[in-house]
Amino acid sequence: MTDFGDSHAVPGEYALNAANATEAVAGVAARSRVSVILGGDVAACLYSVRGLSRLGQVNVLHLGPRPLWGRGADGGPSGVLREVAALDGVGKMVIAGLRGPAGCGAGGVGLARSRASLLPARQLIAEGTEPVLRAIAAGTDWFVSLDVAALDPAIAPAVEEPSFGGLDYWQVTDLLTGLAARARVIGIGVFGISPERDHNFLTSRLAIRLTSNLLGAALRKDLENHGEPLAHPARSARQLAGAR
Amino acid sequence: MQFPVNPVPVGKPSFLSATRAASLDEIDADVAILGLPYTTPYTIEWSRQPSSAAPAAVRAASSRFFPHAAKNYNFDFGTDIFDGHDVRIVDAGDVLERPGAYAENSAAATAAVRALLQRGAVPVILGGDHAATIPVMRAYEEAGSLCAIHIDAHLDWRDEVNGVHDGLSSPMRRASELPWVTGMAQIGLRGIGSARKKEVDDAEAWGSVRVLATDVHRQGVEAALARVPRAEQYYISLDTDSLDPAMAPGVNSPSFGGLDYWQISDLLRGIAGLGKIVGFDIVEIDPASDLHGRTSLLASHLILNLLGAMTQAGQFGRAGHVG
Repeated sequence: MTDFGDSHAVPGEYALNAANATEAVAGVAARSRVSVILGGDVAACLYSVRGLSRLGQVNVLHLGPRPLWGRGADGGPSGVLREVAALDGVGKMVIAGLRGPAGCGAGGVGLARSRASLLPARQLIAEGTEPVLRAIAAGTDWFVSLDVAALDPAIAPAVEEPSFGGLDYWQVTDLLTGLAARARVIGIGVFGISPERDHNFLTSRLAIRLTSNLLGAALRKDLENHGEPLAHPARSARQLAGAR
Repeated sequence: MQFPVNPVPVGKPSFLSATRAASLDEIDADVAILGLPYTTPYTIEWSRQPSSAAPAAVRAASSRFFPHAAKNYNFDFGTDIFDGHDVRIVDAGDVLERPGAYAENSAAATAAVRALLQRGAVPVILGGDHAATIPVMRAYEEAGSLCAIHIDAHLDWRDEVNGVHDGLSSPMRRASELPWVTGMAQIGLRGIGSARKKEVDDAEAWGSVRVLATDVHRQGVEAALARVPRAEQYYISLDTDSLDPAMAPGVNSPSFGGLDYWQISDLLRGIAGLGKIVGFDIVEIDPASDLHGRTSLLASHLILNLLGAMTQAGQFGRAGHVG
């Protein structure tokens, strides 16, 4: 496991910062079996997926209470998944954990629904992970975008906009490990943690645990398929060269 | 008549940034928010009761939804929360209260709620501790018979505590004595409260339907709703300690094993489907022991969910106000 540090960001230079972040993710992804991105708010999801998608088609599972399909300023978090959907190299999109105020009107939700599979939190709570995993084709490459507001504010208090009725630890763990067992997870981004709103580091600890659970499940899958953990099996030498 | 009400101060948010009423006599609205930072204390310490800060805290939390609350899509309703209707909400401010003048404060609260009812607005009361429910329910004398829905960890059937009859342990006892309260369901009961066996026996003898928190956890909300007495009109009193303290940490009396957000939301929606909601109060929030205002924000969500459920049930926003 390697920690590459933080993508360099300059106050006010948002375009430059976005480009740096995209390059950094592409570089990390070319050298890693699984890239772990620590946001930042969910706007960082766009640069994460843009970087990953340089190396091949990537599908996106976003966990969060809102579809983020609004028409805000470019790069703003409220429309970030709409922008992700428009990227070349992004395949299927699944957005799960939706509940409460959408942050956009019915029109925005309709557009999201025409491009992505939308799954309300209540459906997951009632039916388990199967409705989400059903939308995942075996063997495909996936990036997990985890907006920590997907979780209930009782266990993830450090968020800008608490959304009640959220997913619990086991539901998200089952989703992540179920995805890793079924498909090839090439990255996860953890977005939306606001540490100053945290309580006893609960949310950061939760993010560590959930990410570890995903990495463990991905490792088990590699051991099962190949008898050994793979360095970066998803990426060919050509793709690696392209990333440089 | 001059009602002793403090309008929401300039520079402070009203609930959902709603119009501020200058006078209760002139209100023309479907819903009126009224702060009741009220108690009749049992002890001198409680005369500065923590929930007196709750109306301002709930208003501040609700301002997050403005101006999108009525327009944006809501996944739990499958449409915008008011279903395309213009639900007219005003914020009537807080009932003015004077230290020590508990009988006068109570009479002022009853008069203010009565004024809202006469104007045809459904009162949505921001407490205060649970003593606030007592003067509110006294205002319904002219409103016809109603069933009280009491969502709470505790029974609240004490006749008195320390010689005080109108305190936070007595709201359902006092409600049971009102001739216009013809039914009662108490939902979410658990653990220890002020009640002894006598109070439980009294509630039983009166005909109060008691649904334990464990009943809701094991049998679900639908089974709880099936036990609610059928009535044309319901008054709902929601004590925030009915919720689990994991979700609602900022309450006066945290009680573990509580109901969750979906259970409370479904209860509110279910009751709105049974009959007309003629009033609602949310009480016992303690902003000082809250975590980043979570409990006040939760209260705002629950109020919005109730108003949305009332709209979808056709209670208001239909005739003449289609937006």
